[in-house]
Amino acid sequence: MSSLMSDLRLAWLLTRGSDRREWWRVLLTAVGATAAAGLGLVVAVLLPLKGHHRVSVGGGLLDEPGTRIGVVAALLLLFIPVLGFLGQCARVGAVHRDRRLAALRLAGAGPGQTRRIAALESGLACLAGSAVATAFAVPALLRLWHSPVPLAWAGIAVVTVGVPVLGAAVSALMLRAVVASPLGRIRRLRPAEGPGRLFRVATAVLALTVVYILTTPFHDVPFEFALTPLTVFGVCLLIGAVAVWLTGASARQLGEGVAARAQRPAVLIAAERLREDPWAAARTHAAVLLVTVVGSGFMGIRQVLLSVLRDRADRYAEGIGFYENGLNLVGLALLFALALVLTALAVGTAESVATRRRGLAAQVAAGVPYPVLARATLLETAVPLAPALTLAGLGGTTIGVWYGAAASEHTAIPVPYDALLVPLGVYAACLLAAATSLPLLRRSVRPGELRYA
Amino acid sequence: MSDNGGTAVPLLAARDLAKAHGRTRALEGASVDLAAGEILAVTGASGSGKSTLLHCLAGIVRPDEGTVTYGGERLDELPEKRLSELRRTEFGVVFQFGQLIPELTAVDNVGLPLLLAGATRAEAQQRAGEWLERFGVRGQAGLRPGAMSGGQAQRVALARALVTGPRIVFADEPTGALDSLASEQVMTALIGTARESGTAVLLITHDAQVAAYADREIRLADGTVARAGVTA
Repeated sequence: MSSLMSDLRLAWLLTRGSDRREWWRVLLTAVGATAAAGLGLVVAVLLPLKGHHRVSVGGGLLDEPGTRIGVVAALLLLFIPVLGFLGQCARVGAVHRDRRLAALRLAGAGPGQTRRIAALESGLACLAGSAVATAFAVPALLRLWHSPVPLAWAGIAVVTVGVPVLGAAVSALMLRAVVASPLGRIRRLRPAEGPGRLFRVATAVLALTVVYILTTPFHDVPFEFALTPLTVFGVCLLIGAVAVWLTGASARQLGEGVAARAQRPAVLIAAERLREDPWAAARTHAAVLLVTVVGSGFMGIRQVLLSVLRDRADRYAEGIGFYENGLNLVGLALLFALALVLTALAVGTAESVATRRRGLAAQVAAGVPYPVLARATLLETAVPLAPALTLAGLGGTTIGVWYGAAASEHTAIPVPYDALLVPLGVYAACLLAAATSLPLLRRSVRPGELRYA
Repeated sequence: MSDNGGTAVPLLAARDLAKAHGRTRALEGASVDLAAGEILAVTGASGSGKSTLLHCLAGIVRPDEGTVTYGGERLDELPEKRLSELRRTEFGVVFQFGQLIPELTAVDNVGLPLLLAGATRAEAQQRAGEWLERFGVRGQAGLRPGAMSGGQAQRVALARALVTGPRIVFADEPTGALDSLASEQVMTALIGTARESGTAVLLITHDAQVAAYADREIRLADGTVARAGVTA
């Protein structure tokens, strides 16, 4: 306990002494924690609600227990991109942080202790974000609900304390492969054969479950069971996992193939980087691929549901606006998730540039033009992402088609071609996100960087 | 104090250079001449302005004051695009480390300036292979920098600096991270090739043994030339 306290004290001292670059990391981490705490606080307040309530926000979706639990599930799913974002924040300013870790090692800290101190720094930033979210959420809650039940207060307390703990845990997870030596050398342990055992086992279990559901004839089980949101979510996760796996597994061949034929320096550099660390792209783009699968799947399912609703509009006395609102809210949540993963991608690309800045400055000093390095940076995102997004988009669209085929027993459903636009849009957005690192690249290749080893 | 090198028409001439990094004055009125084919060592204590002088002479940074003239062109006034082109074609630059792209193999690293100049990949690789052979690292052609020893990586860096047939090689502590045997191999390769091809070398070093390879040595102190002379 005393060692944890001393690590915490050191983390606080390091945070207080942060320079401008470090403050960016602290700020981004705090923003991510605010989002996580905001989601968690809404869930904490909604969960204790029982039975029918008239809630003035949420377009009626929070009034009934059935729709309320759907909203809670959607909010919990949004935690995935938020945690991904927090993980990327832990990597911001890696060079500066690595120097500090090395200095800590030189001062006598063990490798695990240095990682713990870095994780606690993230925890402190998350505490600030969590406190901000709570400070806004509690007055808002008291305006909507005059006397919240004790369980709601307990949930708020758990979220406020839990988010910093979760942030520190995510940070520790992201830094698990970083080993600092007292001489200032930083090693990053890379998994030699791609994803770990947990990922492979989870994917296999998911695949078996999905195959079982898909091979079970619809007339043998209730229609509602086969198309439960959980089933669709399982299929999305499976396709996302397969897309991530294929991205990593094919990256080496893709890099080799492109590198062998490259005639332009930027293409050669990007392809060789891909070949050198083929799983890096899969790790960086995992959340993007998952959002693409869910997004294109959602577009298909939305089209199916709207067709069904319009076909049966006369049966709903209150009209179909309520259901349309629900679908639009899910769409908004997906856009929020996409914004988060794109921000994480931009942060990841910027971190990669910052890590290599001395080498990049040396390239420019030796005559490699800046535009070549800028194109190589963009191609590092563009090359591995193209086949992966195609697969993710096709997978998501297949979900929509499958859902439509199942529902067409009840009504005529058009093929959801709109879903195919999702990977195209995500691809363009990813390139834009990667392009946000170009101003940093321009600053990084300044000759001044050559002055620092 | 200035260094005129005793040459009638220097290949590269710097006059009254001044450069500050924030509040620190790195150069204060330094003047240097470099003749074609000459090997000039610049020595001095840490913080004396050696690297800043090299950066100014190679067009990597612009001096705050003074002029740098190369082949009738004022480097301190040229646009970045032209400077970049000069560093790719007329100059070769070697640092202590960091100039090789970690993801590219030795042969691709050496061939990079040729690719940038518009050569095909096959042409670039063929010429790069010849240069690797010359520097005794042909066997490392398919290796990435991380898989080579410091001396091998530095010889690959020299091959990259010389592959375009530059008129001047700027070398900033090229042996600073090497042991004495590797230093000797690198310096022998650099000086031998420079003498053979008539390439001028501006060598920044704090090592007297390395400076002894040069025709002439100037010593910097507090951002200016404190002493100039022919090496023993």
